[in-house]
Amino acid sequence: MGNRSGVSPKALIIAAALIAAPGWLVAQTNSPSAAANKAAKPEAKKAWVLPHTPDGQPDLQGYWTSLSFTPMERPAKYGNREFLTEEEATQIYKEGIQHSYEFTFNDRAETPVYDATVYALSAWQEGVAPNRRTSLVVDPPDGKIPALTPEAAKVREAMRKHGPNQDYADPNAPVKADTAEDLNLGERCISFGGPPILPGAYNSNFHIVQGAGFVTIEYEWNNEMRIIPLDGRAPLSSNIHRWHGDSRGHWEGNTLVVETTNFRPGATFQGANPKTLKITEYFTRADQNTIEYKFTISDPSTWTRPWSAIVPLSHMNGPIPEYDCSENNNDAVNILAGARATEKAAAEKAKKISQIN
Amino acid sequence: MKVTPLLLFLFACAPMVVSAQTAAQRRPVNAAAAASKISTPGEFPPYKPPLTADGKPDFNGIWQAFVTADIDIQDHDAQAGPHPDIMGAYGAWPGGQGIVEGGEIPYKPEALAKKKENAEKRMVVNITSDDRRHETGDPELKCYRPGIPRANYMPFPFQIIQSTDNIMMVYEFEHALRTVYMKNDDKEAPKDAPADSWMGWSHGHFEGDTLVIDTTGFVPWTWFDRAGDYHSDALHVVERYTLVSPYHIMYEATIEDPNVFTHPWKISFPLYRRMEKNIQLLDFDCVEFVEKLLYGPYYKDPSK
Amino acid sequence: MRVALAGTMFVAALGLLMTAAPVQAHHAFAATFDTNKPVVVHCTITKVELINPHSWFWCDEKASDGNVVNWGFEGGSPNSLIRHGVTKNTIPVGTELIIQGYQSKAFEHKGVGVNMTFPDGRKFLFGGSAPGAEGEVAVPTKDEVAPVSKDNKSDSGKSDDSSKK
Repeated sequence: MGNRSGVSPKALIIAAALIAAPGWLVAQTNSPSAAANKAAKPEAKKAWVLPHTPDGQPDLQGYWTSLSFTPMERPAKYGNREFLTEEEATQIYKEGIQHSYEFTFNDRAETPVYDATVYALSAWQEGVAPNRRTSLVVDPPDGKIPALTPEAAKVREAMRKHGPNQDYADPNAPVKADTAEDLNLGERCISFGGPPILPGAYNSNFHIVQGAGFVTIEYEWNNEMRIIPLDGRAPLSSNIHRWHGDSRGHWEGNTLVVETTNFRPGATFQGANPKTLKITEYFTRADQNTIEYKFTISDPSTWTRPWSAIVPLSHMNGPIPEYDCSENNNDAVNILAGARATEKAAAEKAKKISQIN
Repeated sequence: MKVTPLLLFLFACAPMVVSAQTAAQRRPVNAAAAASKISTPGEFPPYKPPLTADGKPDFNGIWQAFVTADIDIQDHDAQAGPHPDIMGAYGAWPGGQGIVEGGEIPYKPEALAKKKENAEKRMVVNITSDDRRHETGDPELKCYRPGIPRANYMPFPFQIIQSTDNIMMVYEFEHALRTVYMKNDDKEAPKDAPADSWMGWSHGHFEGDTLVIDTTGFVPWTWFDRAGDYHSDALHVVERYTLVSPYHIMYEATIEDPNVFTHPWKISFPLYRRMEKNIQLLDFDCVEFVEKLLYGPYYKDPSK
Repeated sequence: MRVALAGTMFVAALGLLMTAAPVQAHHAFAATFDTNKPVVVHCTITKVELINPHSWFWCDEKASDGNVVNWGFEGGSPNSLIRHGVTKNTIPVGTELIIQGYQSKAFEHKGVGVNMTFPDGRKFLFGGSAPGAEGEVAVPTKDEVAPVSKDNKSDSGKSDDSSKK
């Protein structure tokens, strides 16, 4: 399968350099190695100055990726430790690159779809950056998403059993695709989700633009746009619902705080309750190449307490091309037609068997 | 002379008649004088727009056209629309005056035949899993991205968010998006489109107070209206946006496509600032409303 | 990087968190392509569609009886390719490819292109590039494209024997 079997020494050197470079990662930790690392580099670098837009807002503009190897929840071995050591972070990054080099879009080992490296879609090729955090979840302090409420646990179980996305343990098992509504919102090119912003498998990229009194966040997937007004207007009434909820933003110092409600049923983060879900996001430009992005999920009918995560957004090069999803949705046709072909083949087989008998 | 009651009446009325005539003579008939009190369609007094913090004319806001060009960019009478037996007046389309300067689109003769074929087949939807799906059917009907300039004169609002390096134009219809690059960058905003798109590849610059947007890199599948007016992948659109009042942009576009038209042609109409307090775009992601139309033939039970 | 589907709106994987959409977009691979119908097609490019959610490559396969069949193979999103400098002009019509994949369940000459290589075995586009080797696109120039008959399809890199058939 070609020459995809390992990581070249050159790559490891590059990776190690990237681990050491971002000063903000070191600054955020309290570990002794961080202090030692600072002491080892005595030459004074020109202090980074937070850029501002012409109208005086902290500048969050540019192309950013949320791609990350950091897991959502903290592996038990780290306990309450929020940060990795430099050695641990390097190891995780190396392993992540190695795996991403072998990245194929496959649901199962037996069904490789295509080699992502051909399309420069492996995490390494897409510019994944290292992260010193042990998990994305930072609150609760154990790095785990809090327990579900009993009613939410029931809803979640029902979704798992009867949702449109059955488990495909058997690649030859029939797929329920009677109508387009049996496909998920992404396959239908209706919505690819968010907020919050999470690391995705690929094309996990965003374009932030700031105009007079508005911040826009363009998602690469289907060019879906969130337009966030900063003029202090009241939220929409609860009678209006939007695929990405509806947002209101304001500045607290250098942090953009965005509050989002008014979600559509069936299109909420982790199946939360659209009537009670509120997502608060915090965008802070941490250095030239990084936005520290934190989100807090509050839904008392789904989780027993609010919880928060920090996802680093790293600078990447644009552009974000037009993503004509529905216009080119060959998948929808191929999935539905494929299901019809499978049914037809099964029916013909059954007919033959009954004819023999 | 004997003063009869009739004469008395006439004498009594005379001053009223006289004064009415005098009042009419006193009321200004001249249009220029009238303009000081009543705005004249087609005329805007000289206007200097406010500037953004980086010193450019400020186009930020939510805008909308109020022409019927999405139905037909040339002159058109009111018509029944599809399935009047079910839709009644809900489905009927109003008449309107065209927005094409000179009145007629200068089609090449063979291209005009294709426009007529488009119109005849505008509701023929045949979705395959390849680009033959675009051979018939109005893309608006299928909730596909409307292209340029059509997105600017569809009856839905769009929002301009203006920054130094990018002007984002977000259309409520199917959240269609244009990123207008205000600078050239070989990697991030090259002059030529790396790949073709429905909304085109746009670069903008200012000429005085006018925002000029130059767009190429179009796929050949968008239409200009429901009447089947169309283009090829050689389409080149140059738009000029000029703020002519706090509430209006005068919009012009020059359309060029040597494969389809004998020479470039222009459209123009005003864009209106949406002035409802707390106006914002909402979602009109019509894909969810067209799935049966597009994919019904592949459903297990096509009647569902 | 293998991904295990664990639910509907959220997925966790080995060290790489996936959002719902990109992984779920492939959940119906089983409905679309038939792993019991592998194909290897030696063909020349007729059309390249740098589109989303999947690029598509259309390719003429010449049978030994002279009939030409046009195949369509699904690939990955082209967006990162575009950021690496690939454009609609990068892959010329006539480029020769060997595509190994699986046929679509519903359509005879459509499939997913799992492995795409040039006849000499080099991976198509960026495949197989060492990490950090930016700009290394293994795409032939128009001069390098050479027509080869179908008989050569089974082994990459052995193009010299075919002309004798």
